Amino acid sequence: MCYLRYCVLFMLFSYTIGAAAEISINNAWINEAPPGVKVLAAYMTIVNNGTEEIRLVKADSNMFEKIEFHVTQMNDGVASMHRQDSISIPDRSSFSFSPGGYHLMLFNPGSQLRSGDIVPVELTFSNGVILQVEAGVRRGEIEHSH
Amino acid sequence: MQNRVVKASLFLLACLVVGIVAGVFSTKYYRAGPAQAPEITGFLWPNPKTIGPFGMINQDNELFSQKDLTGHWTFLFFGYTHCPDVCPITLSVMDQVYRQLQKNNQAGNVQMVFVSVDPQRDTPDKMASYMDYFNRDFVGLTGSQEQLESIARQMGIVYVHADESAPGEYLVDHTASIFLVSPEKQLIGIFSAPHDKQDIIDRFLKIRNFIGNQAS
Repeated sequence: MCYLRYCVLFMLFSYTIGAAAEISINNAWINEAPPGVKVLAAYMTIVNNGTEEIRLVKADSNMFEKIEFHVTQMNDGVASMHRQDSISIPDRSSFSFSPGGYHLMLFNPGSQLRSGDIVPVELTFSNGVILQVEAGVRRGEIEHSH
Repeated sequence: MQNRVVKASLFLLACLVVGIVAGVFSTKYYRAGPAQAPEITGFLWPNPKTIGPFGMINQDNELFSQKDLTGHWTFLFFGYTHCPDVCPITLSVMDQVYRQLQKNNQAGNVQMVFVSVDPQRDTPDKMASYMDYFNRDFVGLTGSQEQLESIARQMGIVYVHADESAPGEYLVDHTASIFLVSPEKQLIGIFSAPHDKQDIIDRFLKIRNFIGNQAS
């Protein structure tokens, strides 16, 4: 009986390791903000190498009070932000949070963050996988290419 | 007598040739002249609107009015300091535009202005540290709701405050274009988002060149 329990636990552990390996995070960064600003944005690319759709359902960091997912939309020249409950990443594809589009909105930093600081962010996915990401703070020099 | 007739005829012929040549040249000049506006996206010509009276408070707690537009090429952007995505991106591009113009000695009479559409939270002190971060030369404007309306209405700016998600925490939808006002206080150009440094510089220089030729 005891053997069976260990076996199930081991399988669950292996499954999680396998699922985690199918998700990778690239270029996670936080746009440095002026002094006193309490709302920042983070950007990154999430790659889903798996054969099933996954959803990013939660983001947390001990350096921020809370993190939400938002998208900036333009309608007739007016920018508006809309909160998203989760972010879907279809199988074998990637999803980018990028300036002017989807972003992680970071509320109330515990301290003033400077370029070069590293912020740990925990990402929770719908398949139970939890990934720890390190997002570097840097001053965004955004160059659009058309 | 016959000699005099020949001379008169030659004179008339010379007048005719000079007249025709002058006519052809003047027509050519007129056609290629500065009255014909170049095709530039976002260029509001030939009917730019003149900005009338308004008054807001800059980051040094001083009045900034329509008089402060005179003699400057003014880039205006409307946003708020609690905006995490579009506003820092746009101010970063405006900083790049300004620094590039400075580098090329083309920023002499250019001023960059950020107008808060959230004057309740954006006090002059807050605007001061915000503007300092992006560029110390930039002007940050705030004030009462009425003061904001005095300029926003004239320029057709849309801003909508959303409901609070927590006490004192709310988003503001707002026009994300950059507006260009000429030294004659005319709203002369609109640069729509997404913004690109080089594209803005190229269009601005064409517009300034055209308006300069009109004045001269």
